[in-house]
Amino acid sequence: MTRIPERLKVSPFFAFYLVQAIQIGVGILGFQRLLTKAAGNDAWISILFAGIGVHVIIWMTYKILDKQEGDITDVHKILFGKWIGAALSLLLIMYLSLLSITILRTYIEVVQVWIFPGIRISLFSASILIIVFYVVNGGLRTVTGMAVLGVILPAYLLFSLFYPLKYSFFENLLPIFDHSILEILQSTKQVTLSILGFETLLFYYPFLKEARKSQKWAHLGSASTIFVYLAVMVVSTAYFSEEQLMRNIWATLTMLKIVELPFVERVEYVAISSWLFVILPNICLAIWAASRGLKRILNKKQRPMVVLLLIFVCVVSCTLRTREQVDMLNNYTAQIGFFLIYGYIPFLFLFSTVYYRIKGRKST
Amino acid sequence: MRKYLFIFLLLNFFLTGCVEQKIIDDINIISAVGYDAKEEGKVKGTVVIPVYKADQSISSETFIAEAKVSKEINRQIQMKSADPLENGAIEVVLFGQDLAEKGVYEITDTFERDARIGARLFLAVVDGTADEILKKNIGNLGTGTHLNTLIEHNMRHRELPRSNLHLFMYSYYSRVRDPFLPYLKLEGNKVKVEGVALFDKDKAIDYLNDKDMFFFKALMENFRNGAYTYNVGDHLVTTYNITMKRQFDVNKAMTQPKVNVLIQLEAHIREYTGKKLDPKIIDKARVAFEQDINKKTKELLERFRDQHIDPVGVGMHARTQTRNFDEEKWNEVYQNATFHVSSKVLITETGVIE
Repeated sequence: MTRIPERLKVSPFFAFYLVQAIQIGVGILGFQRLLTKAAGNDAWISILFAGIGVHVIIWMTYKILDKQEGDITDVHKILFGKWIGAALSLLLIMYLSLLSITILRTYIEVVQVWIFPGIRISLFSASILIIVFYVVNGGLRTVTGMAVLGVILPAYLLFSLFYPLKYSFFENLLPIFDHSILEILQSTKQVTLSILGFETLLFYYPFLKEARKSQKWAHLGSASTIFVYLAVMVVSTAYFSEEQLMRNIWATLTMLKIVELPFVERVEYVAISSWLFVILPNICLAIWAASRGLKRILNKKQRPMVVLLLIFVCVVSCTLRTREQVDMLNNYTAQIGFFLIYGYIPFLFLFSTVYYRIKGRKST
Repeated sequence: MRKYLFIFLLLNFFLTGCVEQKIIDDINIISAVGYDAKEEGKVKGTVVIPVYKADQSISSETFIAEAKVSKEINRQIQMKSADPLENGAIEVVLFGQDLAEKGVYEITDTFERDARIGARLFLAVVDGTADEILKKNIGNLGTGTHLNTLIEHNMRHRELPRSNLHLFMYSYYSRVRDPFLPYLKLEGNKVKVEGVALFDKDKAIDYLNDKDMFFFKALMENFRNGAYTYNVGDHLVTTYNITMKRQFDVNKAMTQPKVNVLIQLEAHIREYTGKKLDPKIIDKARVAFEQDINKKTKELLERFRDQHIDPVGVGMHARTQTRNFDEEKWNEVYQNATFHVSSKVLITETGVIE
């Protein structure tokens, strides 16, 4: 297990920001559509279910990592050997790149549809990725700083949820539990894309001072994410009629159209601009984790890896041109992410528990 | 490395000129739009822009075009305008009665789809044609703003029930509620709120007059200052309501719906044509008011039922109280629904004199 120098580490409570910052991303701008399609007015219950799921997965992740005091590449190496372990780590790295492409491209699509239809995808991607490079270059401490900003600065947008209340029909939430458990679970699956990203914990775990103590902060971070999603879901269920909610691609933004302030005519423009602060730490953290992984398995310097990844992300995001393609990208990422957090991590957890039990027996 | 990074970051600043600029002095901001039905399925669009004059007064300029599709109107009007027309600040959209009765979905969909259009946009139906109103120069803030404030204050403080683009679309897509819009009329040089236009899906089919508006609004939302004048014996009493509550109970929603409505309100007496307002008369006024509410609201609910529409959202209340609610079944049995309205009025004040 490589020792990380103390000066590069961050305090355990930053796990709160690292987890929350990457969980709230582009997903929250329009996650309601798919949830409502599956579970109608009970969609908010599925968010609670997803919250429980995420807590269990975070607990498992900590259990896996606590044994090693290292990151996922170490775990893979010990459990599966050098080659298979490296291959598995590579798959994780590819997934993280896919995640950052999804975040970047979806954000650009929002800007295209809502503010500047004529914007050049290549220029815009490049200028965001240059900032990402600048941040990732500073190491995890800088990325953490970005995550703190990404949580605190746009937090004021929560207040805009009060405006739609005036035009809301809370009758829409009744009757509660009118859908079957199966439908609600299907909707829970749809929440996945929105809460993905906390798997980066697998990479930055050794960078947390007294990493075991950070577990409660990671749980708190994810709980506050779930709270935000819950609030947005409840308000949008009351504000839109069911069919209307299924039609709106960015229901959260559409909801902001009702906000009336004396000094701003359209709050959604302000929101989309501030949203850059939300997606920046997302991309930064994903790219940082991916490049860190590459560094570990290839034994190379991290900086060239970052440049490589960023060029890859930029090229792929430029090739996606239409709504269908972006939607497909989102679906794929959600599918893979769903498999990763509910399939692979529990598998890894069971595998490592059994492995250490057998090993423990042999040594005694 | 550092140096290149710095130059890269610096280059970012030059990107600011890369998107289309819209300088406020060089564009025409549309404040109101009107649509009327013409022969052969054509639609006539009227667009109003405020003109800010040097002496700080504001007048309005209108552009008119006719086309088959509403989007084509926009193109034709752009051809007549010196500066590009921008639709981001439209405050009011008017529909002529003929068009409203043919259906407005094509037009409202355009507005809903456009990210630049706000959700607080007011829609209204005009008794007559929309261009009549928009061609006139009404109010001293420009026609669009005048209509906007007219509708807004009547919704906020008076008997006009709340509606805007969002609420219209909400009801349109909701299968348990039907939309309605304010109904305006041009009288001389003034625009008057005439009542409410009721829609079946996107077609206007009935109109409520201003007398019924009070009861219509009472069935849906809490509001203050709704005035209602009625007879007590030989005299007239005018009350202003202060608070309002209502409760819907729907029994047997899936077979033979029985709808019980309870309306509770507190009111002040503001006007009385008789001499002395003693407790006896106040009590009489209370009973008369309750009877009026019961009768009128029941009539309204039955009128809606017979026209196969549900602007109040009885279906929405039924859904909240029924498990496995089936919208299609509800629409069938709604025809057989029976209504029972009861009310409780509390007259709390009678003004500053005894």
